[in-house]
Amino acid sequence: MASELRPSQFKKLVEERIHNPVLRNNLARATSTSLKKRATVVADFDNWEEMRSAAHDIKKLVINHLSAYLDQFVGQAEANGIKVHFANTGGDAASQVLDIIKAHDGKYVVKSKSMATEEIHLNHVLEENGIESLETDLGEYIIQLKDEIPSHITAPALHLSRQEIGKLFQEKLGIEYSENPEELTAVARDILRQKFLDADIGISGVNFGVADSGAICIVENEGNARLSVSLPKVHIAVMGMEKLVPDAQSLALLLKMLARSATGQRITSYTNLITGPRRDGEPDGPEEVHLIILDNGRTDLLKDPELRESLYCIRCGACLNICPVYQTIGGHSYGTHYPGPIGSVITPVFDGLEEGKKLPFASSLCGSCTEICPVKIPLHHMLLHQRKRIVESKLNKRWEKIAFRFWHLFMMNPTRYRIAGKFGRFFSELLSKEDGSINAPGWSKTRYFPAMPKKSFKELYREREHE
Amino acid sequence: MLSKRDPMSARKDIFSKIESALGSNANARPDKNAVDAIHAKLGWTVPTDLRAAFIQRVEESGGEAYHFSNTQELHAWLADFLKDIDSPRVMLAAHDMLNELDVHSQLQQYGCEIGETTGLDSAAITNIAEQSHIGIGTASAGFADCGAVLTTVSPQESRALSLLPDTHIVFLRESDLYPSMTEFSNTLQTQLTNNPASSYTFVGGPSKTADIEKTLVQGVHGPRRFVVCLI
Repeated sequence: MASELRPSQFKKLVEERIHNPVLRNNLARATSTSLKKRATVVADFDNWEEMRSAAHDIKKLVINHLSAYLDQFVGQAEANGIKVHFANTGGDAASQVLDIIKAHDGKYVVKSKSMATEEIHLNHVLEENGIESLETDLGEYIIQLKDEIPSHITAPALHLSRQEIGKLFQEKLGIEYSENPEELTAVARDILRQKFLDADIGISGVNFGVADSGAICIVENEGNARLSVSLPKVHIAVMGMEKLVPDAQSLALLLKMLARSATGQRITSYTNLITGPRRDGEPDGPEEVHLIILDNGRTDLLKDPELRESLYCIRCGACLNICPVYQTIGGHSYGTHYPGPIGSVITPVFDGLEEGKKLPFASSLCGSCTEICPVKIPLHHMLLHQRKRIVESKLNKRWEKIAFRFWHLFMMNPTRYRIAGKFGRFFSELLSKEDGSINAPGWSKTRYFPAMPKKSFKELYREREHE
Repeated sequence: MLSKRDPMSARKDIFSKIESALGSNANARPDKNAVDAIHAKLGWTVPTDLRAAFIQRVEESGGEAYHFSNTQELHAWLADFLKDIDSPRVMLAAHDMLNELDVHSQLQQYGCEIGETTGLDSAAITNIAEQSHIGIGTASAGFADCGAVLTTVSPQESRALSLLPDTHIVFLRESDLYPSMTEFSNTLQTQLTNNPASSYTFVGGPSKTADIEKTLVQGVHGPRRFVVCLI
């Protein structure tokens, strides 16, 4: 299933999903719950807007001086005993992980939730090489059982109902059917606890790298990340190279904002800071810590001043929750691991403009994403910029260009506009169905296309004047 | 393929790609003042009653918090806490603070079996933690804005203690309460840059998940109960 999803299949993927009432219901419940919880805890601060500006400025400083901060971070991390590797591509990163696992003769891997490892298709690579890699975040565990990719950055199984998960557990784990979240969670707990104890390698992502101390920060609620990086002998962390903050005070600020924006919490249950392998005298912890720093298209984002700020992203997922398009079509429709507005900005760079050319158009440009973003990324401006790149590269359809030519022609002159309106209303009335909508091939399959009103605004206005 | 074989070349590649994207200015690290100036613009409201705010936040995040003015109060609470558990097995950090509060002998008095970890390897320690009902450790700071506490791995305190038992209890001195992580960040900075422990964790409640229909469930992988004893 996971391999069928491609961003270029966007239209097909939407058509398959948009008429599914269960999915629509799951999406509506999950996104509205998240937004409500977020609003409650953001209200703790009367200076949230100033915090957003400060977070933006901090990330700006880091990204504009990325090599300096990266150099400092790597120096500190290595001094603390972390083995640091760099990877140009996702494939390189996955091979490096594999090499480390093989060097330790590792067989069982426990993984905590990480977008970077999704991005490099790590599980797939490990599986191909005969290594059992188990997702331990409950949501990730569920979608791994279902052989799917996450449909949300922070809530991977958001698209599934408790009934669907109950059936999945019944089928894959051979347990009695239950749709009680507590019971289902307890089943996963028992299975995964043993896996934590048996695993030789633990793999995690990284939420923040603290430049001046070389510490890596991993944020979670379940404790699975902490277990994954504590019990096995080797910990491998995969980090996007943009994830840095300068110091502890900047980390404190961003942590306040990440938990609130992502899950509507003041802080998550576990915010882990790892500085290196187990120190002399410490009772437990991994003997080796490896950190793989990933480019995989990030320097391409850096190159384009219009897209550079997308590297400020802290992967909270708030722009997904608030996006009216995401709320309607869900994460899998985007055909990529990074759905929603931020995904539509970065996917055309990560996967190529041709592959990702449909995504920047999956937006009403309402700007809610820009307004909710804790680090003030101008997301809807970037979506426009991506559209411009797509048009300039002549990747859009020819008829679209012709249609917009006509549009331009009619919009630039009041007489032409009036005539076009008359024609439009005439045909609209001819074509409209009983429910007041129009069948427009290619458009109305997934959208409601309202017929034009019988009279124009000007006509109505004139009638009023006569009254 | 070459970059994969030669790890140093990937590093060089990436740094040169950054430089070509941003110019050589990217290699100059901004002065610390530049970062401080951004933070200086932010003012924070501080709660008047740190203790009350902290306790409220711990409870809101699914944990429990109790305040004890003296050792007697603490011992009475411990007795009450343990009475519902049948022959409790406890893992205890070998921390001075817990010795001073006489926790060890109290636990023994109430029939607790205390997992002895001195001289054991990590596999054996994990095993003991896995068998324990309760892990008792310490926190070096607590934060009133969110109810989290900072736990640190040390020769006296394992990671397993806070992860594997069903209940995680931490002892925290009231004098170590801070309004938020921001006011603590200088101390954290010093700890992280000066012979740091391998792992620090801000614990904000029990292990929890909302991955099934956003329904909150406590105790998904780690402790189901998280208790802060404020001394």
